[in-house]
Amino acid sequence: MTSADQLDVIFAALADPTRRAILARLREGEATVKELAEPFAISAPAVSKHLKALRQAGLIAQGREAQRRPCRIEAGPLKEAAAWIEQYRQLWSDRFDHLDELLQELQREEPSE
Amino acid sequence: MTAAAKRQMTLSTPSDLEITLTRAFDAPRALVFKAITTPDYVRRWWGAGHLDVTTCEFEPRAGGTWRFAGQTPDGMEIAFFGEISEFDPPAGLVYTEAFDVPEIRDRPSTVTVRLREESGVTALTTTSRFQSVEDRDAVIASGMEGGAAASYDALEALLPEIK
Repeated sequence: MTSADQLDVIFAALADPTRRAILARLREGEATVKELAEPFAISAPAVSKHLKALRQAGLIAQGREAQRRPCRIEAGPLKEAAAWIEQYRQLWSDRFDHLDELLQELQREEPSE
Repeated sequence: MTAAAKRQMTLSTPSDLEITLTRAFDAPRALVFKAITTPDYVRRWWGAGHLDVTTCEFEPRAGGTWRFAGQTPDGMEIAFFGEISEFDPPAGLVYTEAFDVPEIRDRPSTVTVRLREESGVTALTTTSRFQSVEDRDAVIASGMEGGAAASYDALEALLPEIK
C-alpha cells in the first residue's frame, strides 16, 4: 500500500517546520485552526494552507463542524512511516552537521591533507 | 576567501524500500572517506548530540564487521552493527546495517555509500535498502516504540524556529 509517490507527498508535507510543529501539537490532542495559529506569528489563513497540505498528505483529518473545524492527527501505518522517516532525517542531518564540523577542524589542523 | 552557505542534507525515497541521503562537504573525498570509516573520527560525529558513543568498531576491509553503539540521555543503549561487503577508498563502500534489538537484528538493510569530488567539494550519497516490505515495517514499528519519545522531542524542539 505504501508507494513511493505517497511517501513523496508526505515528505513534502513534512519538509516545512511549521507543519512539523503543527503535527507535534496535534499529537497532544485535537485543536481548532484558531488554537493552532496561536503559538505561531502567522495568520489563521496561513495556518489553513498548512493544514490543507497535511490533509492532502493524509496526516491529519479535519472535522466539518462549521464553527470549530477541529483537526486531529491520523493514526495508521503510513503515518507511522512518515514519523519514523522524519526522525531518521533529523538524526542524520544532525550527524552530517557534526561530520561537517569535524572535517573543517581536521583541515585546519593539516591544510595539506 | 568566501564562506560556503550552510549545507543541508536531502532525503529522498527512490522506491518504497530505499532511503537516500545526500550531503555536500567542503573537503577532499579521501578525508571524508576517512572520517566516516575511522572509529576515532566516527566517534566524534555519530552521536550528534543525541547519543553518548560507547562503542565504535570498524574493520576497514571487505569481509570486515562493524558496530557503533551509544547511550541516550535516559540511559537506553542503542546499537547498530553489520558486515562490510565492499570497501573501495576513497570512492565508497557497501555494508549491511541492523538495529541490535530482538527480531530486528535479523533484518539488516544494505547501505551503499558513494563519494564524488568536484572542485574540492565532496558529494556523499548513502542509500539504505530494506530487503522486504516486512523488514521495513518491522523496523519502523520497532523504531517508533523505542524512539517515539525521541521523535516527539525532535518535533517539539523545532517549535522555537517558527517565531
